[in-house]
Amino acid sequence: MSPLEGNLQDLDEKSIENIVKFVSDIRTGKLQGSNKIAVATVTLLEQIITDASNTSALFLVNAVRATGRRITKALPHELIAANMVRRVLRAIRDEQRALANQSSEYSGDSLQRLVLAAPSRRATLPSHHDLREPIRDHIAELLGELEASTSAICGQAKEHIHTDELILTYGSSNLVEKFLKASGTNKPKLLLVEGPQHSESAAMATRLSSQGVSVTLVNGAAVGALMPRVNKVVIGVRSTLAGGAVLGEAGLLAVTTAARHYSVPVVVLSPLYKLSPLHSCDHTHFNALAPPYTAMPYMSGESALTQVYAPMCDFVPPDHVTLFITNLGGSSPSYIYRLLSELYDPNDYQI
Amino acid sequence: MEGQHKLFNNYLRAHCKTKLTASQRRRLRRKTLKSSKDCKSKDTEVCNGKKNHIVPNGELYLNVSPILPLNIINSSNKIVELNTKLCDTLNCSSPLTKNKIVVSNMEPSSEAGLSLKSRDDVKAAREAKKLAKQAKKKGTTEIQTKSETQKLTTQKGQDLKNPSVDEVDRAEKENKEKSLHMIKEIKSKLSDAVVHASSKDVSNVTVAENLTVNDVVNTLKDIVNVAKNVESVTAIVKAMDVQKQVKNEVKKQTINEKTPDVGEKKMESDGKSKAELKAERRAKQEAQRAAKQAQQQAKEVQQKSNVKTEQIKEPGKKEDVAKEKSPKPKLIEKKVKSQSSQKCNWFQHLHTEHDKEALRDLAINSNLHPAVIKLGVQLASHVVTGSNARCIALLDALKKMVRDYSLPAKTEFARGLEAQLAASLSFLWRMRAPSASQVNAIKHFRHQLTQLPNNVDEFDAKKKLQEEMDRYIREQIDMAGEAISIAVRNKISNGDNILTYGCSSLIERILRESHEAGVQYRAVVVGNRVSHSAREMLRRLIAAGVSCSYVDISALSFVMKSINKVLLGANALLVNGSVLGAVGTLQAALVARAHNVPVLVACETHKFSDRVQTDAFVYNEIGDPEALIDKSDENSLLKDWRSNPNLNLLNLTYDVTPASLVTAVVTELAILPCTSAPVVLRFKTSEYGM
Amino acid sequence: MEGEKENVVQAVVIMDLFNNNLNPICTENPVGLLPVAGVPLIDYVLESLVAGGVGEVILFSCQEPTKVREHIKKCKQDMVPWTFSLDVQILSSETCETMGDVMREIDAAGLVRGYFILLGVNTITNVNFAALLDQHKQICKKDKGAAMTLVYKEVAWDHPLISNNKSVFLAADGNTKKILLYNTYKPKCKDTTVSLPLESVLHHSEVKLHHNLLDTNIALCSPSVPPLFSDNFDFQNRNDFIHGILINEDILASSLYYTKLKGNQYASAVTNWKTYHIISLDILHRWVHPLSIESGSFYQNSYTFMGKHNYIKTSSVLSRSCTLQEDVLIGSNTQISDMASLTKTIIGNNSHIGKNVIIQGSHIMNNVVIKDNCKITNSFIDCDCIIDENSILDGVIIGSGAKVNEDTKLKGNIIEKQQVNRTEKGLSKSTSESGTEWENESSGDGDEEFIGFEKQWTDSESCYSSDSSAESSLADSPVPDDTNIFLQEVIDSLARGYEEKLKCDYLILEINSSRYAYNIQLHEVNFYVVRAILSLPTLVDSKNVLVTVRDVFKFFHPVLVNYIKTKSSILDCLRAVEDSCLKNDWLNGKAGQIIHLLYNADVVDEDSLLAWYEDLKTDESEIAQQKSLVNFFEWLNEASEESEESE
Repeated sequence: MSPLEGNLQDLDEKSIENIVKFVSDIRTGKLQGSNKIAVATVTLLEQIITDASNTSALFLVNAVRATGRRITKALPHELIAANMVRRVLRAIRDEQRALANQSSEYSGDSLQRLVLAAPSRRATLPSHHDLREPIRDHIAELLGELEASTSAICGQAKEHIHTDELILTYGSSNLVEKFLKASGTNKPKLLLVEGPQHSESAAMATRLSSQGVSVTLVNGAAVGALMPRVNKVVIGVRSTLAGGAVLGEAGLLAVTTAARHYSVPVVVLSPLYKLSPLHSCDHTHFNALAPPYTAMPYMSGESALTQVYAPMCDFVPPDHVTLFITNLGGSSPSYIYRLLSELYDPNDYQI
Repeated sequence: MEGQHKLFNNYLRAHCKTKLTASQRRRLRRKTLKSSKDCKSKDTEVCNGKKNHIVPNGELYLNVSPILPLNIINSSNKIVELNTKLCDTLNCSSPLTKNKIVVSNMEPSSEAGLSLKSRDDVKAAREAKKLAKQAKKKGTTEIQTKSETQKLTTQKGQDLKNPSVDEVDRAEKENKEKSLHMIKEIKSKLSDAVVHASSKDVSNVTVAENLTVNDVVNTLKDIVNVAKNVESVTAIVKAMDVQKQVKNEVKKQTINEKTPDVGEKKMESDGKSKAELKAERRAKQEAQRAAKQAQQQAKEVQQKSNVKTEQIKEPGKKEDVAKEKSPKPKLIEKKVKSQSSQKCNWFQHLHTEHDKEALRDLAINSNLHPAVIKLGVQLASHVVTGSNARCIALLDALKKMVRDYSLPAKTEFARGLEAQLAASLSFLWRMRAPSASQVNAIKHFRHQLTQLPNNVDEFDAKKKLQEEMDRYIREQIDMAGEAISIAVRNKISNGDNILTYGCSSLIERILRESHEAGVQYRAVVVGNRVSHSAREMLRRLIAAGVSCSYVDISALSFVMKSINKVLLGANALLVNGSVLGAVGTLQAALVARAHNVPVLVACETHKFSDRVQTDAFVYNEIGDPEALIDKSDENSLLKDWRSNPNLNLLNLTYDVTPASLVTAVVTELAILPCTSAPVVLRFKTSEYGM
Repeated sequence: MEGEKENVVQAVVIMDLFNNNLNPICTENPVGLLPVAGVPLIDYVLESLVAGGVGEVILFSCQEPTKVREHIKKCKQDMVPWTFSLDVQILSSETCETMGDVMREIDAAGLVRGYFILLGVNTITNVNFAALLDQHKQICKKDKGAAMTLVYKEVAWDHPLISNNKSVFLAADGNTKKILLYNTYKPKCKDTTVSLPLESVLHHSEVKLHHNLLDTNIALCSPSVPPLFSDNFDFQNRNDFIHGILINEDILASSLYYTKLKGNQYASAVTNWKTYHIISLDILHRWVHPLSIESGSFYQNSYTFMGKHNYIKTSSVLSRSCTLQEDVLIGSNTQISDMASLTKTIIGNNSHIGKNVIIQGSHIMNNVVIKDNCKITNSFIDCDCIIDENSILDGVIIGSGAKVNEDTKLKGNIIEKQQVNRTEKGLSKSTSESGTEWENESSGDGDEEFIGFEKQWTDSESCYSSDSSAESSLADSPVPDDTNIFLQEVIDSLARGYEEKLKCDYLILEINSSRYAYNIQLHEVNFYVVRAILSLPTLVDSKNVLVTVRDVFKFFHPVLVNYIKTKSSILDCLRAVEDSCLKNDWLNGKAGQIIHLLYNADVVDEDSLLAWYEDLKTDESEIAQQKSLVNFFEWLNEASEESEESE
């Protein structure tokens, strides 16, 4: 798919082993939660970069990209891991570029960097310059951002939730939970619609209610009936696609449809690391079937005679979303592409 | 004379049962001898039962009396704590009423005048049967009530923290002194009762005696039942108390844990008028006495005294029974609201339909037909669901009621039955709010009732009514269903994917029949986790051989892409064209509209209602919140949601789908747009007077 | 991992079923490599073990351990995820013929350190083993004697996995979950009564009775289990073990417990072809998540989801006009031609499906070629088979490399490559009706077929000689009824006698002894003896059957005359001939000749022959029309007439 297809093999045993461990961790559910996965990916990449034999930008890019390929092939549904790969790639490219055009802004840089830069001034192509140091700085930044993203989003809670309004949220999401807690003084009433993983929703409900947010837990069927009363729909998502579409927990589309029908604003909490530069047009993309016992227990005799479906996630078109809240503040669906171009290098959209 | 002997023998037998001391025995023998004597002496007067010859018996009574109070006192004590227990266990009313009824049917039988005898016998028998039935029902409902009881007790626990101890004491005190004073007055009552009694003719007595036997048996049965209930329920309550203790951190042992309970109960009952309290107590006393009397039935004197006292109280009690019921639901209402007010306050106005609580104060008003009561329980416990089923069940119960209705003397049939009908309906509607289909059916029934000529013969009237109801079921439900199923079948083509939500008998029929008609299609059944109706639907369809898929409502938008038609059932079609359906129907319609899939609503015209409703809030039923808790995993976090003031579980029953989302509604008349509901209604009014 | 050996969870996987329910496919290959929904069983097991927190696995394989080793090595090479977190030991011993033996071996080797998980390779599950084992340890804390906790999945009583499996009836103490009574029934067996010893009810406050439990073939074992096996040599399999423990609980001072899996945990065991089919569909339907059709491979998304649970490898080629109705899995590089329609079917790699082929509920392995217009239902076709045009297969099990010619109609037989040794022959012979359990698969009923199937399986002597009956009860087949064992024994002894040219008197003695052993009626003996003679293995693979039959008869003449004396016995004999001519395909059409041989050997006389022939004609059995027979009787009549004329 891309010119670098050939050199996938240039990963050494150790890093491959790391990758496999990482993948199996995610598969067996040892590693859960988008943020954790993101962090884990970045650390993995950092590891790979650190013990890369050759330190030229090209090599590093290839290595990271190869890792990215492996991960995406092994975990086609983990878009976040891919995003992190892109971010790191972007970092490397930036460094390389900065190195390539040795412009004056380097004079103002740290002494150490000047020293490091000295040999490369003579060199025509900056390939055998050790980029790892600056790249590590970038990665550290990235990790910092991942750390801060949740709090950054929750910080905006007060701007979006006014006193005593009825918020509807769907399924269970740590981010939404924190967001609502952060809305603190102006007490919102929460209408928690349980998703397919009803036990998690229940857990979230109990946690929130014990923190003084008044929660009403309802089944997914009641969304339509209750929507007219709702002031806002606040949801977390699996990932945000280019063009402002959203991949969310199964059943989300039904909720947003209802919200749209009653023209209730839908606010999507999506930290930057969930933005992925991919396009999807229908509900089967990036989707798979989840175990159907969320719909019906296996023990029931019918289960063997019928086809029971339970999709992993739902595809919500951009026109259902009123507002995205990212680390950088609110933005409309139509603006997502801009953020993407800031985050990633266009060459990396396809890993 | 030989009557005397029988009397004496019974009397001895009785004493072998209740081992009395020798002294008592002597005393009693003396008494009987005396009585026999003055029976001899004042033969003639006794025969025509004059009341002015009682003087000697007065002092005769005096040396009997010591025994009587004895067993009454200890009995009454027993009674009191038994009742306190009962009060704890939320379904106190029913056993009480039982006792009352027991007593009340003691009355006619033992009072058996030569003329009345046979009729009373019959009455007694019927009453007994009814009792047995109700007892059974109780037994069953007990299990259901458990969780409810927990609810209440916990609630109590919450408002229990305030009632101060002195209140409690006061309650107990007054309770005690009341009972004492009761005993006194009963004594007195007995005394004059005996006076009357002894004036009775001997042959009369013997008759009365062998009449009472079967009643006695009944009484014993019932008492046993009551005892059983009490035990089982108290057991539960104890358990509850323990839990509650843990929850509310009320550091008390269960013993003085119970007393506030009692006190609290008293508070409740204090809410009622003194008269009722009295009535209750009397009832209790009598119940107990009935038991005693069962043990020592030979004591004609005492028994007859019962008879008299009851005669005196009988009229009072009847409406007491009625009164006693009425305040209860209000109480519950209040509690629930007070609880839910802090929680989802936007549903306060709704009639919170807590089936199990409704069961709790099951008014076993002796003039309700058993079939009606049965239906009531079935409705409340959601055994009978689905508007068609409910309608049919209702008509069936009414049919039974009409069949067994005995027209009181010189009342017009329509009037009498109307009264009966009103009573049973008020009972049923309290068990569960009527569905549109039921309302229409009743309208139709009343219409027919009014159509009856005033001087109609009872038999003909019954016959006509029953036929009328059969016709209604046949035309309105059965044939209508057939017509609709044919109409829809033509709309299903081979290779279609038909999506349906929830469980509807009509939809199931349509799908089954169109499968039998050889249409090759696939049914996609959508259900939600809370109500298992959809799975029931799935089971039936599979049994019928339809090829099915099943998805949870969360996967609705996932499957909708491949759906050709959405086929929905409805509980009612409102006059403004919006469809009142099971909760989730709106969801399905919405998603279907979003994917431009046609939505057909199948609804017989007898479900058309003249109510208007634009959203699901103005009218709805709050289902059992516990249903949201996952039964399968024992350590579900929601277990103790009631203890958490901020957490609330909401389980709606209906939602309203606006006409704009429905492509067409299929009725037996035609396939119409929803908006033409009023036309249909007008047409029906002209035809069926509904 | 080596550091804290103690708290590494150990699991013992037994790589064989020790029965022949999955024959002939699993005669050359170990069961572990049998692909279910495209993935070998062993991969499922290992992946589930890793996911379940197991650190160390002992694979004990008795059959073809080399292949298992290769497979594991291959997995290590392409770095299947589990290879990193799991260390796998492969033990093998060709001698072990029962699970009991395996346990004894393990005990002898002393590989098990403490509590461990015992499961068969046929188990497919997504349970958390570690948690279960902890549960078992808790139980052991309470009850020192707790030896084993059996893991069951509770399903609806009408669930196909119950109805096609050996249903378990279990009585246990409600509070402690201690097993009091344990019965297993034949699938779809009729007997409805359950005898519950009174004391089991009296001595426990609460007794739970389960009839809807699905045996997952997982057991959580205390260290005491292997010694128990080695102490009691009569423990052949898990059921023996369970029964043994339950019967003399106090003697062995150990007790059994059971546990039921939670709602969303899946576990089941592949025990026969039906369960194989059901479970592979379950995998397609993703009940076994996270196990899936892509388990055991590192890279995923190699399948594309087509809706209605149809999955195709991206490299497979489907024609535009072919229809995948539902639950279809198509491997890589497989071609589906025009107008083919597939339902509930799993097709391996590099296969080719011709035009207008209709396949339902079948499993087709790799490199299979199915020519045009075939119709295949409820069948299993192993690798490298070729099905020619217009053939109709129903409930057929075809071994690898076999070829089905054009226009053949097969129903419920088992076909194998020709060069297979005797035992499998015997198998394929005796299971010739077995396939009938496939055809009734779609329609729920078919009880007697199924039981017939059971019978056929068990009396078919597999390579695990006399153990097979006992063993087969480990996985799925009930205790066989005596007559079949008797027949089998007679066949064996006669075969041996024929080979070693023993004296017939000994054989007679043997037969009689076994007759009394299984108390068989005399007429049955007559019947079965002849039946046995006619189904001797020597006949089966002889070029010229009739010659061999004649020799056999000559050799066994003393036996025959010994049994076939009276009229009734002669009729028995003839019925036996009829029966075997119908049952044994190598004899069909030769009834006449055989009768003739018997007649010449003066075993049977004319009158009874004629009488028998009349019977045949009256209850028109198909051999009555057989040419040979008709000829023979014509000849017979002529002969008699001649003899009369001569007088």
